[in-house]
Amino acid sequence: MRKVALLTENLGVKIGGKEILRNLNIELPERRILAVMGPSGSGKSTLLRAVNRLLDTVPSCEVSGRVVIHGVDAYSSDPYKVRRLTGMVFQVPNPFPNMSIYDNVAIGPKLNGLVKDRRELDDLVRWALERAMLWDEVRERLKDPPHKLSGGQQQRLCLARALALRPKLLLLDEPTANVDPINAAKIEEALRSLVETQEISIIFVTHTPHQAMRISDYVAFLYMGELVEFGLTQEIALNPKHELTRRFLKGEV
Amino acid sequence: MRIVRVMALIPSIRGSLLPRYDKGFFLSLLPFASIIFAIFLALACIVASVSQQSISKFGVRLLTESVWRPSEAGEEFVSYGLLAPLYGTLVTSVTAAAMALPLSLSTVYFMEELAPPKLRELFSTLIDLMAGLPTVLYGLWGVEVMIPFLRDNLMAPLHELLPWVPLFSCEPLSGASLLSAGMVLAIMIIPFMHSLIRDAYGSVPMTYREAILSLGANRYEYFKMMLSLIKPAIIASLLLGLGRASSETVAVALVVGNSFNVSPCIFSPGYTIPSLIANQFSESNFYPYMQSALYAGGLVLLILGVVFSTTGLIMMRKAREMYG
Ligand SMILES: Nc1ncnc2c1ncn2[C@@H]1O[C@H](COP(=O)(O)OP(=O)(O)O)[C@@H](O)[C@H]1O
Ligand SMILES: [Mg+2]
Repeated sequence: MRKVALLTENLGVKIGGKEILRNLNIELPERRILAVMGPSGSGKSTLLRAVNRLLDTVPSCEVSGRVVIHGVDAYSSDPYKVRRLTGMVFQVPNPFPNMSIYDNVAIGPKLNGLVKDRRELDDLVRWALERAMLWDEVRERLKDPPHKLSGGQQQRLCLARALALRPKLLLLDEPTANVDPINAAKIEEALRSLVETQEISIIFVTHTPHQAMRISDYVAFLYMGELVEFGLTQEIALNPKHELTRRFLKGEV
Repeated sequence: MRIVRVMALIPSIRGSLLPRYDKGFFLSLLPFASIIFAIFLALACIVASVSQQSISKFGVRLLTESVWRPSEAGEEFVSYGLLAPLYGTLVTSVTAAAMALPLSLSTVYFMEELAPPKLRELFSTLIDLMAGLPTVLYGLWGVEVMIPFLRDNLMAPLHELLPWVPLFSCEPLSGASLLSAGMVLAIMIIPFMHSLIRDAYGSVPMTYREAILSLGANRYEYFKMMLSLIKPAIIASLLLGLGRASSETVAVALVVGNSFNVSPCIFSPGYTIPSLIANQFSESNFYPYMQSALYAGGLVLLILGVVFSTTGLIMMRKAREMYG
């Protein structure tokens, strides 16, 4: 029996009185990739932000239900701790422009006191960059500012930044939406290899069904704030239970 | 506030949807634009040319001596040294900027991260109001309220406790001093620096804020990283704040003590170039070289002002370019 990486129970989100997410029940085992798919505006980004409590910063936002990450009840513990457990990569690459490539990766471990000395930090930065499949391209220019990298490289840098926290659960919000196909393939490959070799689980948000099917072990299909279907990717690919899912997979929604 | 508004216009002009170049409009505005430039040039030329007389007479002694001795008796008795006012100008404005920076940062943090929206509105209005008050009011308030308070509750105790520290080595007499002037100036430039920093703070895109939070930063770390994202704007606010402080006249003249002193002790009365000019200009016609020496002081101010403002504006521009 695998441990549970993420559990949501009747998760609901209201912003300014408007219901954005309703009654979400998801259970993701450890070391698996969950793809969250759905048309734009269906609440995918909101789901990720409910998991790592970034929604705390949105005024007039109410979250109901439960989120449990590796046994930690997110909404009854410290938000900083929750975010430390869960790295995040955003839709548009956003490395910090005022920091070098190295410092972008090193900042998370530094903030959270993950390393004892410079050597450990160097090792962790290298490890994260290797896991993000970026090390070979940047090893000679770690002191450069990130804007010298291509968009796809910047996104892999952001992946490395999140990985350097050694998160249990990695959240990715359409990480390949603004990236060329070669870089997108590299990111997908990096993610697959992560769950195969590390103690990490991944939630991958995408609006393209193809990518969801290609990369994931589990799929959640969100539509207008509701979880239409959730299950093993193979089963849903072959035999979706809902007409809506079938149509979304065919590209009709 | 004026600088903020002018800066705000720059991107909108550049990104305008109108044709970039409309010849008729351009030509019709050209005279007005050139007038401003011409006035600035004329001002610089006049200041430089009137200073010329004292510069050629006293040379570098104008800046290295602090004896200020107007005399009608004869040229050999005359001495004009601007060292004390120059020193006072630099000390008071650096003190002011150094005190105003942490306070401006705290008010930015309070307004952006802690205050509820209504309080934020109120506070914001208050700060704009403070920025627009006639500066002489700050001087009057300084004389009535701040100087006695500082003398009894800060200067006297510090001098008694740590008399061997050069900064506190002299006994505060009236209380009018370099420190008092620095503090009045600090209070005057806080609204200005606050607005510049807050503009930049507000322009940091949401995505960086989320990235910082997603790394597990707590409130304090979050603010520190936000500030590092707007470092050029903070440096710009310091430089422009220094520019303001070094050119302020009336408020300083009321609280600085107006005496030719070059002392490391910040409780001692001093002088600044603007307050020197304000105090002595009316009688400067009666003494040889005096007016020219005051103009030389003006020239020093002009150079200081141009240096602070241009470097400040360059940093500001850099800050603006960072986030489109
Ligand atoms: N901060 C917010 N304030 C108000 N409404 C929001 C906010 N964030 C998201 N929403 C609304 O929630 C819905 C879902 O948005 P989102 O989670 O971004 O969808 P997706 O990522 O699937 O495109 C949208 O209707 C959006 O307008
Ligand atoms: Mg989204």
